[in-house]
Amino acid sequence: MVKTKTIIVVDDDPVSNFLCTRIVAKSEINAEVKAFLHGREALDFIEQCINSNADLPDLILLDVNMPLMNGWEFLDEYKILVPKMSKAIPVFILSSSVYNQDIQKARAIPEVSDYLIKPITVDLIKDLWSKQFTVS
Amino acid sequence: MSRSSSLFKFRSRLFFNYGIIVLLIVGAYLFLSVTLHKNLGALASESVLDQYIEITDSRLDQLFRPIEREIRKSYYLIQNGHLRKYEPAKQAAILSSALLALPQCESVMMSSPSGSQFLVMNYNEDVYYSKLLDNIRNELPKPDSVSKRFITRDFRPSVWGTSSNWSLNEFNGSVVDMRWSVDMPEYDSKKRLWFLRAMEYLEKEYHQVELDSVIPVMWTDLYPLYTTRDLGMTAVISAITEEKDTVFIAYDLLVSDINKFTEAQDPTPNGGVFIFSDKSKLLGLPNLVYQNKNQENTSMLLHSPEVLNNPIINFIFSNWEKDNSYAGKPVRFTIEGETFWVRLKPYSVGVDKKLWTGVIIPESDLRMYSAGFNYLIYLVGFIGLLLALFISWRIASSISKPLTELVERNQRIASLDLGPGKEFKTKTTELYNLYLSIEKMRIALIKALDERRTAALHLEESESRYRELIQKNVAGVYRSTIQGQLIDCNNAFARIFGYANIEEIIDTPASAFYHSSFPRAAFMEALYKHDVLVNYEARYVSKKGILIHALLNVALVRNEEGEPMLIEGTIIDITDRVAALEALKKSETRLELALEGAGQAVWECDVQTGEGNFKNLAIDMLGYDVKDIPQNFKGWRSLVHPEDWEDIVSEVIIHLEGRSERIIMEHRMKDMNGVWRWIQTRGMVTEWNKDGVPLKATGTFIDISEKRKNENEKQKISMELMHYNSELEHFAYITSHNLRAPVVNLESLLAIYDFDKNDSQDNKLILHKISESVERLSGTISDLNDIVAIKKDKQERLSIVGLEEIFKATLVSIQSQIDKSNAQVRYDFSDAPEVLYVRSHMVSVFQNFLTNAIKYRKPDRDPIIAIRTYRDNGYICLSVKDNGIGIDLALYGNKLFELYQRFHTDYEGKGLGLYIVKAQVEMHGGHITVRSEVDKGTEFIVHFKDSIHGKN
Repeated sequence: MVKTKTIIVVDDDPVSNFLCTRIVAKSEINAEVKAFLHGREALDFIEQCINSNADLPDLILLDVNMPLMNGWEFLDEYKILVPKMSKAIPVFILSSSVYNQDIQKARAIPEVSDYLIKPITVDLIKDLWSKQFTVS
Repeated sequence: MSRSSSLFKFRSRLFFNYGIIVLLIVGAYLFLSVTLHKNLGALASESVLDQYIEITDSRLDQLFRPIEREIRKSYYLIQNGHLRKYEPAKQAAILSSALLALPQCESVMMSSPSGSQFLVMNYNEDVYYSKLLDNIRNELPKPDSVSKRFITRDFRPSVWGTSSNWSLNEFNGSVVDMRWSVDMPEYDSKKRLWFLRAMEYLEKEYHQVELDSVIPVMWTDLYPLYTTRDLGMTAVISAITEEKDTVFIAYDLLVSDINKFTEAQDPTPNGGVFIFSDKSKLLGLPNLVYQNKNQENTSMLLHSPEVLNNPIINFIFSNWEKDNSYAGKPVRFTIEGETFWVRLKPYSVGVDKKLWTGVIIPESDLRMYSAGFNYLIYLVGFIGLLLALFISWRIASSISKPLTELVERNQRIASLDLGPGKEFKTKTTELYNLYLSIEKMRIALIKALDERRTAALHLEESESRYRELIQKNVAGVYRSTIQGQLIDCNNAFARIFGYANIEEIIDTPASAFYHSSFPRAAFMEALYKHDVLVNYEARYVSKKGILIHALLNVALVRNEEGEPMLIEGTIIDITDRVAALEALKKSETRLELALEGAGQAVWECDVQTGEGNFKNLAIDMLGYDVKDIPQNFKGWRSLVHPEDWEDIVSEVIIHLEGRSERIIMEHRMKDMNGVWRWIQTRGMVTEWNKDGVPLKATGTFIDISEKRKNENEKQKISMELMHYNSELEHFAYITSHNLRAPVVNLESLLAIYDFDKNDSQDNKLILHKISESVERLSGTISDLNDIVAIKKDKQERLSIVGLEEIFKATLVSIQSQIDKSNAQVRYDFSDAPEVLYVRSHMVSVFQNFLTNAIKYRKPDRDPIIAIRTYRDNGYICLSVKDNGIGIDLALYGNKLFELYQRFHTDYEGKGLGLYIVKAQVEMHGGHITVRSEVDKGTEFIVHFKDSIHGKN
């Protein structure tokens, strides 16, 4: 049996998180979604996984504008954790911002795989999933 | 009778004078011996003290310099990676072995910069070793952070052995201690091998290190340590490099070693030599014994902790702090009836650390030293005295004898009778004198005749010479009658007036030459009065009617009765000179006018004296009365703005040293009304003496106040524009995001809505989310309306707003929130009850800060909100202070007032209120500052321009 994979969504908009969960479910990719309302929550979760040797998430969908710790600040701290992690987790920015500066900034960060503009769709998730986790 | 009495008088006077001389000599002797006696102690102490300080210094050199050299070597080896090929523990072994090889080095300690790692090596002495560690922990003074960390760290000497990942450059957290003994009885073969290899390395490489290439090491200090060993005290020399990632190396010296160098030759039986460090304590003072007032011998052996209770040491240190002039001269002080001499000298160790070497000697010792010398001085003095008395006696008696004889002979001659031959002699003398006067007369007559003849000859010769002189003279020479008719003149005179020769001019009346402006009457009057006129400037007209400027020297010739007869004079044509002078004057005026037209003023200055001229600046530009401002460098300086002075001095110095071509500087100067005006001063040295020393400088001033003002204005505007631009950009960014986010949500929600099953549970949920998103969208749009509104609101009417009234109204509107949170609100507007502001904006100021303070209260305590106003430097400040949860300003400070920023997820809020308040306040020239401490509370201070009181 193929193991269920975990996606973390970091977004302060509960509606967006709700949608994300729904769309992942609809796209039938055998993954569960964990939602966090800001960067600090998500970071705490990842640190906890590292310390307790639990399974790390397989994909991160990260919003940019959030209170307390925004997407950029999250990435700054996430970078420090990368060497301690047992596997590489692809990070996708998922934002409603179409602002070019944001997109450029994200592209310049090596930890970021791609910049996705909302809305997220079933096709988009499927496409992304097949690229990331093609069965070899 | 009179004869013997005058002789008696003479003799008694002689002996009186002699007595005075004897008294003076004896007095001088007494004075000298007393002074000498007084100062002998000081003289002796200075030389004795100095001598022993020198000995101490050379001994300290033997003690410290080798250690210093080894530390430098160690540092060099670590720094350059020479030791990397060896295992880490061996690296340490190599370094410490080299240091232990020094006879004065009893043990070596190394530590990591954090103090978590230690390596201690010594000569096989367990008790000593653990005692040393205890001492380091307990006794080290704490002069700086490094040693503080060093000693407060909890390290465990009980952990023995080595760790394979230990290195001098990198410590990973494991504690390592190693112990070596020279004969290594308890070490296994592997460690023994290390040691042997270490020795091999020392032979091959370590001793090859060139000291010149070695980086200096910083010595932290010398510390006294007290151990239980009978030796009493241990000094640790610690060294640390300036870089953080290198090791801290410490050596300890046994007091026996130090004493070897200090006590070997005590200067006097009871004196001592000591060393101490500037910062803390005495290091060594052996064998000082003195008698206290109870006549008991008190030992001054200073090896024990009681050292600091010793009255002498206390005296030295308390005075040291007050005045460290000890270093300059020997100091004498008295304690418990005993007097001591102390002298200190700095001794430097390492790069910048200072030690002091000192000598202390009881005065009784010094007396003993100098006693023999004293008696010798007195003896020599006494012999000198006897000699002086003897010599003066001999002089007196040798003078007295011939003088007495002389007086007696004179008296004898005076009493002789010369008899009748006297009259004959008188007659002869008279005849002879008569003959002499006749002869004198004869010679005088002959001489007078001769003189007459010579004078006649001379007269003829001088007349012809005089003629020639006149004719050849370049100046015009003339003679005329009183009425002005020419009698005689030379050719030069004729040429000045445009005539070919004397014949042509001689009949022309003098009046023909006078220019219409020539004051003939006044001229004559002056001539009559003074007989001579020197350098009289006059205007004439030539034969062709051209104006001539001439310089006249004339004399009036009178006859024997004193009647004026003739005028004689010389005349020089100065027409060209006058013309040149006038041209020069004209061009100077023209230059000044040109400069003034260009808004410039000229200055000049004598570089050596500072005297000069900057009148145009002082009068025209700054509006002063010229007599109020001294025309010199000081006068100029007094007007320069003090903040600009330093720059001016450096600019001028650069120029005077020849490093710049000219001086160009912009600075402020005070004008007559006390306003600072911006002046650009330019200038350069224009004259040097033959040695290249600048003598004169000159230059210009330009008033550039207007230009400066424009520049500042321009800069201000561009700053403002940039600020607005970035704000607009941010605004665009936020709105695009906040508007797009709900729209995107709506799009997706509609996409997953199942239109076939209208009433399904799932659809209901989606519908709920849709309405949430619509609400958010409409909320954002209404926020944007508010924001756009403030940007437009600038024209809104400003009025004098009574703070207390508005505050009370606001309180009423949020009364329910206050009641619910149990908040206490205090206010005090008495310092500044009103402010010029927009009334409705003031409501939102109060509303926002009050509701924020309530919203972000600490859950476990009732909110206390204090509001007050005060005036500060042209602003009216409104302070709102709470005891809430506070804000971590380091994290969020710069975002606090930005649009849609929130810092607490547990609280509702859109992040709009502060943005709007700030925008409104800034619109009217104010600003907001914030102070906060997490868990303590927050204070917002709104600064309004104090326009009511007319200040900015």
